[in-house]
Amino acid sequence: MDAIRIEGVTKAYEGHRAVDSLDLTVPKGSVFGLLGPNGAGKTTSIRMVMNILIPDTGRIDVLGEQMNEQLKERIGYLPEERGLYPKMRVDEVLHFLASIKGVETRQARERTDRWLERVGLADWKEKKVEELSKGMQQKVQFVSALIHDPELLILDEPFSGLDPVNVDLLKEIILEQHEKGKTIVFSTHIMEQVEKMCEYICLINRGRKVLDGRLSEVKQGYGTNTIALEFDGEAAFLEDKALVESVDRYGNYAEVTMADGVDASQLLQRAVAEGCRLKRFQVMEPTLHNIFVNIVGREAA
Amino acid sequence: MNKILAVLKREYLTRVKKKSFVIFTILGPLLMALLMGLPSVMMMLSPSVQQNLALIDLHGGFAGPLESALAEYTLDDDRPRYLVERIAPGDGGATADRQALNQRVLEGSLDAYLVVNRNFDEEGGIKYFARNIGFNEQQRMDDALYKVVLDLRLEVSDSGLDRDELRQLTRGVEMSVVEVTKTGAEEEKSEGARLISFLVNYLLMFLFYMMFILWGVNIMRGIIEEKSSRIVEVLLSSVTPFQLMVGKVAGLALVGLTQMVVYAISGAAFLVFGSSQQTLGPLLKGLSPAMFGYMLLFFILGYFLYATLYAAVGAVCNTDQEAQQAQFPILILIMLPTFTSFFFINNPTSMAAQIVSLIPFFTPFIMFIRINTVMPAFWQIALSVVLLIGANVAMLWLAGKIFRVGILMYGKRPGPMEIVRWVRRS
Repeated sequence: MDAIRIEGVTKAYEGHRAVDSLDLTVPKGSVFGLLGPNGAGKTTSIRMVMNILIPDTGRIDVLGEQMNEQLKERIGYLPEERGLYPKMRVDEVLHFLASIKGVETRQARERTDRWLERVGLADWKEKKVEELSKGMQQKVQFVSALIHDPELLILDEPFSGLDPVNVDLLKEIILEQHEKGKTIVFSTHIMEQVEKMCEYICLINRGRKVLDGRLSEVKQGYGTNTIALEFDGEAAFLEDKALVESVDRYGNYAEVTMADGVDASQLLQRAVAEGCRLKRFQVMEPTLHNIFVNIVGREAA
Repeated sequence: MNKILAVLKREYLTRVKKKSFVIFTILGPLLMALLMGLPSVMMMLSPSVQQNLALIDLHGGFAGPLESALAEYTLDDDRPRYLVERIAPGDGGATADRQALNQRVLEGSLDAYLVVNRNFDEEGGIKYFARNIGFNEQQRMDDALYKVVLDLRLEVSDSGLDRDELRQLTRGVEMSVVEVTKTGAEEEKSEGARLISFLVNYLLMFLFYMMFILWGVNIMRGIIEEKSSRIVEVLLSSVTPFQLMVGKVAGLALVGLTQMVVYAISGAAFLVFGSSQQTLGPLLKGLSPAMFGYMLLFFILGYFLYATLYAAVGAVCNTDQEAQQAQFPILILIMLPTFTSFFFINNPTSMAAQIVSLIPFFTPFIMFIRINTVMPAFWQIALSVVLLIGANVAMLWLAGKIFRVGILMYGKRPGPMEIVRWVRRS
């Protein structure tokens, strides 16, 4: 059974199609990355999965049923646009958000205490939300997505604005949930996180799916035409369009996507011939970043 | 349903726990009762004190009759209310006499004094000097002086009229009003009762008016706050827009009702307490349980109608300023019946009243007035209630659609045409 199955879903606003005949499958128990540039249709897609928006056409199944209101109690959702009632107490907000997820009062209290302890906010329980820092509020928000112990967790940019310590804390909790068999869907455009955490990805651009599948297979599909280079001095050969399709340069480090039919040894010969002092020359899998930039960049062009 | 209740509970508790609500609800009527009841309480509590009254009688024949007229006023323990002290005019002239007496008034050894000129009938012929004069005090003085003056006038005239006969002839007239009820029975209404029913109508009208606007705006601002604090999407991941809207509107209805109940209880307590006094007696007669029933019915139905309207406006606005403008049409709808109510209170049976009271937006005000003045035919009441309920259902449906689209909409406020498109599409 799949956690989410989207079939032929389209959602149009005045004039433009935010999501265009999208097909997508999220396997149960997986960590899934939904990627795409800003405005690609990620949030609209997620809102349709959450039954907040109604698709114009197509069908969405969640946890084996066609999406309906009752299913909301089994899904935890951290939207990108998030907020809490600033004048309410932290514990009261959590009790309330748990209650609209159908958690009974006693359980809500017990879980609130446990989770606040876990994210280090036990002392802030009785404070008003507005007295908390932005990062603290975000942790409360994160807790609210988990408080009803959902089977499916949808997190839209969960780490934005958090310091590294808290990012690690949230990652730890997310992986814990994964180990318990929960399905986790990330929506993000920060590739490093996805690369480290996700087993499956789907890349959407301009409302359409451009790539999806198991992360390792996606990378293999992009072959071994990526070279990592570390060097001193000039590297004029990187500009040669006959050899190099695209390059991602960071000063003395570069990730090169070779042009079709070019072999790694040709590139190496050229580098040596130009007298480039190489420190590292490595054939590698393409990074998600490269794939993303390649596809999205090409479509934009 | 559980979700609506959960939303309702939060809305209710956060509002009721606010300091401003407690002050407004509990201290408000308390203060009002205090202000209104204070004089009568003071009168009841103030010990019966004899008044020291001085009199300068330049006329010469005034003092005796006045003393006997004032002697009719006694305190509860049968002591005379007024201790009259005659002051002979001094050699220093009227001004010096007054200065001396003023001094005594200020010291407190004298409560007031009267100066009666030789010709008491001229303008300013009788003057009363005191720090102040109460309503009852003035009434007593006027009555006593009237008697004395009438006698004195008779003495100088040679009409030969008997003074008792004259009193009989010049006494006032009282017309009593009898209401012919629907069943043809006659029902006498005291003047007090008529005044009270007029006052009650106005008071309740403004109570409705205030509550509808106050809590409607409260809902509207609450929704805008949820939009601007970006909590809406979190909520919608658990409840439907419709559940959210209904929960909010019903939650605030309960807040409004709480307030009404507190007002009603304090009002009733005030009445029961006050009815021991003759001035407030007729008030109780002017109010009936049926009227409370109708009040509750029209309050709830009217409140829901306007509250859903306000909720829809809140959903399409992003800032309070925007909402200020957008709510204007609703404000007009509420203000129209309120500010024309004077006409309807005076003409409750007119064709205009009959028609207007059937328009759902005006029913809570105008039908309620009609019920309180001249009870309309039952079918008219029933029809107005059915229409009002129908309007509520229609408005809930319409507002639900607007709410569903508007609540996730940020940026420019949509125009009326765009809202019509939303309703069609969703």
